[in-house]
Amino acid sequence: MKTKFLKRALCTTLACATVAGLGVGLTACQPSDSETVRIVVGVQQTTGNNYNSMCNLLDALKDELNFEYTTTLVDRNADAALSTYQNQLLGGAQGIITMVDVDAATTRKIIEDCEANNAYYAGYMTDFANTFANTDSAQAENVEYILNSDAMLGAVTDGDIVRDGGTRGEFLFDAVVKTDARVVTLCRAPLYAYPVAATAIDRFKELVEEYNAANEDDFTIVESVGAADDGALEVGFSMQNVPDATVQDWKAKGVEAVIAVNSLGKKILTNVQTSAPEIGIYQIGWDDNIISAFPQYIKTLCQTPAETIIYPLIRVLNAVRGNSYADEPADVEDTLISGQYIYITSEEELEKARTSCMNFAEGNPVSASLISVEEIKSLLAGEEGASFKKLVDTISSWTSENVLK
Amino acid sequence: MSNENSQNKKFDLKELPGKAMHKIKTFNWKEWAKDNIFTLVAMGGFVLLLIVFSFLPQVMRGPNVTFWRAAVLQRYIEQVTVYLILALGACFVYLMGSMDISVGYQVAVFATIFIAIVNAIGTAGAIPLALIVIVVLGLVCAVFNAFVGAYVKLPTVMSSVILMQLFSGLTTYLYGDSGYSARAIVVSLNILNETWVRVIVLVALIAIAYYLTNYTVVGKRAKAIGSNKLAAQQAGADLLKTRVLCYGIFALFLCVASVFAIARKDSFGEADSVSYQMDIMIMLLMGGMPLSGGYKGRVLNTVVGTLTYVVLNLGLSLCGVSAEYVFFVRALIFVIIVCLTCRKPGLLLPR
Repeated sequence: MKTKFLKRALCTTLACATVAGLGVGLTACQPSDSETVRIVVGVQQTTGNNYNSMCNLLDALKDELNFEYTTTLVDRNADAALSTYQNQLLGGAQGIITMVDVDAATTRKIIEDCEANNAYYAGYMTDFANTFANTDSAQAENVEYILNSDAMLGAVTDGDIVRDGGTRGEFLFDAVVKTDARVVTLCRAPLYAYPVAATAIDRFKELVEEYNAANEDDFTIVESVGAADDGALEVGFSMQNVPDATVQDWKAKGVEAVIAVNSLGKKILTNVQTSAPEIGIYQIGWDDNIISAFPQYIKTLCQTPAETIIYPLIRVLNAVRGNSYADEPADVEDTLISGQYIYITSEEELEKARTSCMNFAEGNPVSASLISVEEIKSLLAGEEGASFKKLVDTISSWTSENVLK
Repeated sequence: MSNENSQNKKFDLKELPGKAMHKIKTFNWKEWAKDNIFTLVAMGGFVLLLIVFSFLPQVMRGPNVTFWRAAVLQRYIEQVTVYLILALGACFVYLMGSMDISVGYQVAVFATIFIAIVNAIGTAGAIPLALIVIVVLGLVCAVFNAFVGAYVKLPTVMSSVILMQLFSGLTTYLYGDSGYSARAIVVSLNILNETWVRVIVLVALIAIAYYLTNYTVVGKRAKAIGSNKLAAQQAGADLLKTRVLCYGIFALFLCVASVFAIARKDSFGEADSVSYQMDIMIMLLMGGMPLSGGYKGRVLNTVVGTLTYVVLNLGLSLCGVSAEYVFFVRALIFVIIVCLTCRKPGLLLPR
């Protein structure tokens, strides 16, 4: 009798322990919404309005959405980036949001590490799609691996690339065609870093040809000394400023406007400002150092709202908590979405942007955010009406037209 | 110092006069500690960091984040590998009181050429050929470095500046021409990513470097040149030959490091090694290696410095230190170590 009771007690205890163990195990595998999610954001710099806006927004969200985050510096050194992310994963990071898209082989290694640590990888203002499309054949296997990994959650690009740079070329043409400047020269960032620059330059040249065919005040595109095959001067990362000799050459050739694609404003500004102030700089990008030169020398400004951080953030939070949308894309490629540039060509537009978008507002307060904390919360999987489409549509709605109205 | 002792041990102690015998018989801890103070401080710093990081991540990030885990140690060894191989090679250059700031660019070019050759042939059989090519290239650079120092009478750091410019241009050309920022290798070198392989290779290279610096003519002469070039020359040391050999050894280590750097990611990028030269300089300083070279420099300094540098990066990440503070904390620790291990000019020469 006693033995039977003991056996029963033992069996019951074992069963309870098994159930409890399974429960604990499952809970450990599947963090609940009440568990704080650890996220690391790999940034290229820890200053500037974009960084400040992003941090202010994340600070405002972290208690509401129950996550904690740290920023870590990552640059084009893929070897160092790999070490940095490895260390962060060992430190308990459950999600990596990267602002630097390193080559496919390194991305694969990072993703393998994420998989080993039950963590996830997403991009913010990164163009994975172009990076993966513009690799040598040896990288094909790596790209395939990345696009088939559950740890890869997608990315939102910096600017309205939509996987080509046509819109950038159109914006620059629209800005310069309104002026009297008709002698222009082309500059661009290195293509391995910004493949879209090639499409932007091509589109600009196309529009010039169309314009010249229909109008009498023809555009003349002046080629700089040392220009690449596409006729644009490649301004590398190592070049602190475009040399004065180049600016003098532009001046001698009667250049009236420099068309620069991708974050080259600062590199071109100094010597143009001092040696050839009559030359206007039409550029894609934004830097705190060039705002004072707008609109006298720098004629155009562009920046993606820092609020787009919510895309990778929500993707990471959903994945870590095991939540997904009903319309969750089956293909990783569909999670590589395009952000939106806010294009600014006048002081009035800049003033409007300062009141409606965090990046542009003085002190980058969350009160100037394009989206409220409650709205962001409602985009999380599991919330009523939340869907992947809604999340993407929210990001897509932040166009110049909507932001500057 | 250890060499002197070992040489003295060959004598019959009974034959020595009383005072000398007393000197040898009684090991003077004070004297020993004084002679090894910088290495001891560097080692102390390393041990202190290990102790701190043994509990600090748990305090700051919770009980699951510990340093003493297999995964952490595995990554630690992975991150140490390339640095340590490079630092061991650089040790020979630094022992002579020279410096090489072209390391990163040389690695970039060697790695890219290695990948290009292997990819062109497409089989593992191409690896020896690729290795031979980069070794030959490395040895050419070694001879150039040595000749510039010996004949052009320029400080040796200048020859490395020339090489840095040359290799920087080559790297830009190699990558700019392809339009890609990185090149992947078609033949996997995954075997080199096994932790046991890394450990064996590192231990073997440390042993080789230790042997070469302490028991061969080239090592002893390198130290002699670092201590006092003129005295070394007058004592019969062939400066050019020693320099060629030291830079040659450095080049060989550099080639091995390049292969391990490729293996880590199965690719190599244009910017992957740009920080190596500074990192190595910092590591050697952290390990207590005198920049003036000489007898006070040891392989141990190199090992301790590298291990300290990597453990610092890893430990700070485990503690969740934010980007803004990582450089600050690292710089602070670096300054403390350098202050503790800095030498007075009068102590540079061996007594």
